[in-house]
Amino acid sequence: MPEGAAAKKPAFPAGDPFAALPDAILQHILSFLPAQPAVLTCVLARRWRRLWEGMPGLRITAANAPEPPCAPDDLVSSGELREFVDHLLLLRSGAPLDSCEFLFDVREDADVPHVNLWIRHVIRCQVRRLMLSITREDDPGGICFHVDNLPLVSRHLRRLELYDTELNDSFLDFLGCPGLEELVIYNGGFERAKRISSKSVKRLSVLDCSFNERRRTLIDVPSLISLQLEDPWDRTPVLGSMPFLVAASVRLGTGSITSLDWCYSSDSGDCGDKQCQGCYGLEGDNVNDGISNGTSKNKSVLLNGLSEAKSLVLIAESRKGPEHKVEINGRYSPMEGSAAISENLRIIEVKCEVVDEGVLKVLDFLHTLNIISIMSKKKWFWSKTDLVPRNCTKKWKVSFPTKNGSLSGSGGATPAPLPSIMVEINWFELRAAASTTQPGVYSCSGASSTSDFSGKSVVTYFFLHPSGWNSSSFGRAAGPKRSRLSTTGTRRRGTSVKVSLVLEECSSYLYLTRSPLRLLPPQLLILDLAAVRVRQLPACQPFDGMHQRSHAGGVDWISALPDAVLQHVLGFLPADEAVRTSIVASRWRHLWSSLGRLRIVWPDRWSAPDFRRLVDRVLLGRDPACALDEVEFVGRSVHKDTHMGARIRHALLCQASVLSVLSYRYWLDGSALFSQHLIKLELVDVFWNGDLLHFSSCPGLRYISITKSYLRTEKISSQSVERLCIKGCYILSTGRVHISVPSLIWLHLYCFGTKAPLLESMPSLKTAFVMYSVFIDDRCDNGQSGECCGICTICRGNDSYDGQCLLLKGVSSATVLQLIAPCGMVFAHSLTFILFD
Amino acid sequence: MEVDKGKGEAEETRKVAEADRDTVTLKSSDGKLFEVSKEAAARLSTVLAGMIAGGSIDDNGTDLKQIGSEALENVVDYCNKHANSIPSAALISSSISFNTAPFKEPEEWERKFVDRLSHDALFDLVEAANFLGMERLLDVTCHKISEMMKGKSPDQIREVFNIKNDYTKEELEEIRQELAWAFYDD
Repeated sequence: MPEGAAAKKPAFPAGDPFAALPDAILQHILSFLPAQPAVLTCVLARRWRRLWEGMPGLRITAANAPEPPCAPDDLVSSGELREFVDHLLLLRSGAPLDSCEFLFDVREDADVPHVNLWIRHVIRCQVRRLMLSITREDDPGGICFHVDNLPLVSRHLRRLELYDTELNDSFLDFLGCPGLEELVIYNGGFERAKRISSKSVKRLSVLDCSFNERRRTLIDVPSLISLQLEDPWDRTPVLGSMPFLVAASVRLGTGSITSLDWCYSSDSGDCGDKQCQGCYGLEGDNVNDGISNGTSKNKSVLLNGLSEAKSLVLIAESRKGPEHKVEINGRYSPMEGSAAISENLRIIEVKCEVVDEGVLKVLDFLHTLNIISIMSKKKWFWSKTDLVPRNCTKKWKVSFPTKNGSLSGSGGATPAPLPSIMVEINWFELRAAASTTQPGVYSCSGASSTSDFSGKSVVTYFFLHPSGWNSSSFGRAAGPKRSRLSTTGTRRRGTSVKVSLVLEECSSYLYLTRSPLRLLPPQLLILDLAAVRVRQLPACQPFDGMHQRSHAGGVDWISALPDAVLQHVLGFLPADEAVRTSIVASRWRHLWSSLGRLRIVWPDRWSAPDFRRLVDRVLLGRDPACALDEVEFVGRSVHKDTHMGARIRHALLCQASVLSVLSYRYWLDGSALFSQHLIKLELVDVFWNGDLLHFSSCPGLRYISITKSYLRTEKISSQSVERLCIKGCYILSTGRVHISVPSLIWLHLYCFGTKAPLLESMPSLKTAFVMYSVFIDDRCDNGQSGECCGICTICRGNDSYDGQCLLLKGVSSATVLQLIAPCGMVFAHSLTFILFD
Repeated sequence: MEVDKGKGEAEETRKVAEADRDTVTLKSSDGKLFEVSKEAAARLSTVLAGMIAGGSIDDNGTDLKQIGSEALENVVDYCNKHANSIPSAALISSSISFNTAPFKEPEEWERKFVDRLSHDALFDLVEAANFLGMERLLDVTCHKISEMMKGKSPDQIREVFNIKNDYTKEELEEIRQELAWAFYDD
């Protein structure tokens, strides 16, 4: 950094080379630095002060990272790292992230949920490229970091790189990331992952990953163009159909014996047991049913997916096996041919170090196809097939009544916009759809212009488009999710399907509950229906369509309210209670994450670390796309919380217009608050230091109320504030405090301190209540018995009214004035000026 | 401040329809008629203000098909009470009530107003307020509902509001783990 260079000979004698560069370029440069030195640049010069906040990239790394690209000096302990990253994420501006890298080692188990929270947060910050290289060096359970068990939902994510990561089915279900195109998994753990599914990924690299010993992982990535699969350990994964595949590079079994695709139930590696999932699990079971192109009878691990590659490099290396030379005695047999392999296949290149029985089997099989020659140094050729259009014959219009949860379909109708449906698609209700309607194309359309509280108008219009209704073709073999599916399956027998939803020709947006108020662009989009639901909402604007509620007893009143109203209700609850409502019912699950009003109240019995964790999780766990209008922090007396300043700033970054801070009794430091959106500030029972009381960077601030607080400052200033109430406050200052609020209309001032404050000019003041109580040190030694002499600096303060004592000059324009001051103070003189001026 | 704005709007409205009466007649879904002062209606409801300004007010009763007579009676009652309460909220008082645009705690009369409502009427009123764009009434009613939820466990909330638990046990366990930070030894 330039700082270090300053001591030596300057590298740029001509002056600051950065001076000419625009901020965006500087931020771009900063984003290549590890986050910690990047943040430290704020001390370089005034211009650099806030640059880091808008960095488009974050490289979160620590000295304990396996290979830190640029080791920071500290952040050695996990506590330091945690504190730093929390601060970083809370304080950086809401600018979308281009790239984010996590490179560090997690030492403590307690940090794992914290790190997962960071990952979720950056996903919400619209990150486009995400890299996770998080290790667990000290963990006896393996060095891989366990990601949490929730699917990622982001329309911005383009590239995802996972190093040393222990994966699971939910995380690898990328149906919620319609823009994800590149996926790199290096040394990933697939022990618990049965499938990778994405409809959008075009380039996939799975390198050096360990798979399960007993069953095969399905890679279901139909849009794939390029595939790199190298050195899978244990069971080789099964490739689903990949009709667009252009280039594939597959290398198997170069490692030790443990890397072999080997069945441990037998000595030979092939158990012959039809029940063995690893060996025979491909035929007709759940794993392979996910491939929806009718090739479920295919027994091949790799060929199903690879058959369409234009360029294929297949390398099988094995140290074991009998040393045969290649002998092929096959013949063309259409009966034994595979549907997965094209008739167009003419030439095959097989490269192998040693040909063993396995290779021979492959060759033997290949010979049953009508292949003219099998030779080395040739390539697979494959003519590109056209994409077969989906079997769309009928169109259905599905309406979604709210009451009984059932769906009705009517055939053949062209989807007409329904005036007042806010569409959220619920897996439960869609299952009902499956039971009442026939296979085919289901479309459902709705347009709504429901003005919710944030004033956003959500218009929805989409097609529901599953390609078939059987439980297997959309089945997601998710671990913990499965139990839920089977339970509901017993309730509605035979209809427990999860359906992929294809959104086509969206004229506008979709309203998703998993990430409420996130608007998705009109583009082909595939969703996991577990995440969304359909519900009719009362409309606000046209008078028709308002929901008619049944008035019978025992009704669920609250569920009839629209989400926006429900969120309004939850906004009045303390944040922890609002979060806890997520277990009331599935509709409530994610309501809390998009509340417009947060009341973060220290609950009884909670310890300080628990409460701090709550505050961080609530702030980082909410959806940043949803503006936060009102924030209230209610602390508890003297517990010191060094993060409080960061949290307040984060709330302001979330565009809070009302900020309340109550009961934080320790000195809160920091630079002046900065917000375009803040309108009202309320402080009760807090200790605030000087710079925080300068509000020149809050141009919209109009109301300030400070009650029962300690203020250590020399000046309280704002250009915009119209109403100011300082009540029961103790002001600590060395000299006289200046209150400089020129736009003030209404003033209530009742405070104590060493010296009475000086009110600067307030030309528009209408009403003022000023009560000066005990100011212990406010006596003039020049005057008689401590009264004001009117000429010394103590009396005048350092105001600009030369020769006159006008502490109260500011209130002189008020039409209503109550002034209470104990006698013997400096005001006697001042008052006469006001009254007779 | 809200008061000032309201008065300003009302004055504008008066200019538009100087000759008209100073009340509007609203008709509920079951045909009952209610009168409310035009000034209060315009000040408290964005929808009614829009209709008054747009001249779509019917002298024989503006049809509000979606609001039952009970709810509409409460709405009108609220408008009238709100009009009466203005002097107490005037600026020249020793109380330092900040009458700002964002939410402030319900006043005593507002509390009483929502407290006497039955469950059913309260939720009707929420919908009516939402429908008519009456922000303050929506705030007050939603605040009331939140007080009914406050301090209750999810199980109790389900019970109070008759909400059907559509989670499975496994899901509940999963969510509890995910949100363990919000649950404190329970």
